[in-house]
Amino acid sequence: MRNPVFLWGRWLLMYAVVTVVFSRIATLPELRIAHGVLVYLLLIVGASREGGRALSGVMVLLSYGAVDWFFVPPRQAFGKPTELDLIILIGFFATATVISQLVITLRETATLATAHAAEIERLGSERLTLERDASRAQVLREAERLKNALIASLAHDLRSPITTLTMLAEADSPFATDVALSRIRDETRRLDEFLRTLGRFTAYGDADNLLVVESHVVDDLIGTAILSSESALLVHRVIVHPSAAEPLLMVRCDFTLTLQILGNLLVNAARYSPTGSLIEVSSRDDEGVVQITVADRGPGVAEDELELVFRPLARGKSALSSPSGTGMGLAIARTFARAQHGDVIYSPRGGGGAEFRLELPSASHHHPSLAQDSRERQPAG
Amino acid sequence: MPFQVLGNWTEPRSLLVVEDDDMLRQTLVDALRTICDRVRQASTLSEASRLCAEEEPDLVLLDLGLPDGDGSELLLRLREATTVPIIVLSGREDEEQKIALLDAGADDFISKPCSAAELIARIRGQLRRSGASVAARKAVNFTCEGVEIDLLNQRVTRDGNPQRLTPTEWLLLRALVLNIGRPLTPRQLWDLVWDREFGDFAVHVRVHMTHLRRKIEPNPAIPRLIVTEPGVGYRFIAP
Repeated sequence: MRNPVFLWGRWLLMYAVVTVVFSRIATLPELRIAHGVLVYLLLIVGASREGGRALSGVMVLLSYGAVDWFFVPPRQAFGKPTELDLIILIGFFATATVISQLVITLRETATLATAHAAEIERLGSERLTLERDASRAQVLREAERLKNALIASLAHDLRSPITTLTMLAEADSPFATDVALSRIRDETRRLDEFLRTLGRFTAYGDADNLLVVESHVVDDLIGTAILSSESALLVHRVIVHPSAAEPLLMVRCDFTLTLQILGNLLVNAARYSPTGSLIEVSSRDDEGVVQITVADRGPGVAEDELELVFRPLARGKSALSSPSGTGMGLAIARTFARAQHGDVIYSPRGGGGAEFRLELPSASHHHPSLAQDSRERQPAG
Repeated sequence: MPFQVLGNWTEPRSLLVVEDDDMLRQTLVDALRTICDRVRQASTLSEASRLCAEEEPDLVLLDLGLPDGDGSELLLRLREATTVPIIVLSGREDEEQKIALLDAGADDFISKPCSAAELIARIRGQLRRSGASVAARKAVNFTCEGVEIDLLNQRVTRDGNPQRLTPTEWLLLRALVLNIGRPLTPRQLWDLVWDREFGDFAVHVRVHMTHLRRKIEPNPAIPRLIVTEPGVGYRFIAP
């Protein structure tokens, strides 16, 4: 299309064809000047549109010659120039100029627009990269902050369980054996929780190596989290509302990291809601984001404490009555969720209580064929 | 007892504890004495290998923080000396290491810290599994909270209603039950059940596992027969 030889050849060929046709029918009495002018004008418009100024000019001259030869009296001869010849020539030239000018302007605008679009796209992707880097850096910074807070608290907070253990283990301890044993168990569990968290954060500096992000079934995450937090959930009833989603709800995440997020949310719900009350877990897909909700019937979070509860070592006011945790649960949950391009969000629950929602990117678009494959293979009935 | 998958419990002749921390080793030995009169102990790998050859214990409990070796290499060397069940004591977060250990021939792992009751239950499970013949494991037939599983006749019913399993789900269930009490990685399950190469095999295993659980678990929301070992794989647990 862009090859000029090909372009000129094409339009000159079309001119030749038209001219040959006219030469055959030029003697017909019903043929008027207007017919010839119209047909050649079409040729000029077409050539001007595609060929630029030079081709357009040549086509005007050729067309003018043909019209003069075939249609302007005396026919089949050029004759003496008349006003009619002049009008036709001016008309042809004006059309050719306007059209080729229009096309040239359009082309320039289009080129400019394409360049702009490319620039915008480049800037956009640059911004995305920057934002991604920034959010990664932010997550790492956040993790660093949490780690420092944790280490700072260790010296202080480890002292309490160790003091408790020392008192309980004394030979002439005033505690009944079963009371002492159950407290020792609780305190060692607490120490273990500290160590696990610390271990996670020590490895965190190398976030790329630490996170094993794969596609996981949400049901499996929830079931396993409940099972591994079982001891904390003994005095509560936990109900999992089946998502009944078909195909299965799947998320992109690091399994153990997500398990810890869910575990923290469950333990948190258990810690702040009355004995025997219901903790409900549900999940759903909201346009590419999977939401896993842990809802309790505790006191909820006061509006002025909303941001506070996600801060390390901060507890809500209602937590004062049961300060047995590390005070890091929600801060850790949120940081771990954000490290996986998700988040943990609080909302008050209708009818009283708290609702903590873990959001993670859905994995469904990663495996478009998989869910269908496994569904088709289910036997009927 | 309709449950025949595991052999009967007989007291083991001897057990071996390999642990370099003196306090922990002594505590482990004391705990194990409750199920076995003869508990031998080693604090280095060379000592452990020697005791394995000399004593032929029924089971080895192995901690990996030994001074003369590390991780799966250590396990491989111990495997040269014995074929008995080996249970590894490991840190909770070392998932990659756990997978490497299972691939290197460990039968089970226990995350530290663990309770003595949990430890003994695991040891009993491994001893009963190693005492049961493969034929007995193939003919498993048991009932658990209204779910009846008959592996030999390929029949599963829940509250009297028959559940229809796909051929893949049967193979998956069989692989799990034959390795009862033993954690299997997605890779191991894939090799046991599917006979083709596939890029994202782990996701396939996870999806089919969820479908299987919906059919055989008394409460599919909180599975207790097929338990997920976070970051490692799945384990079928004797009810």
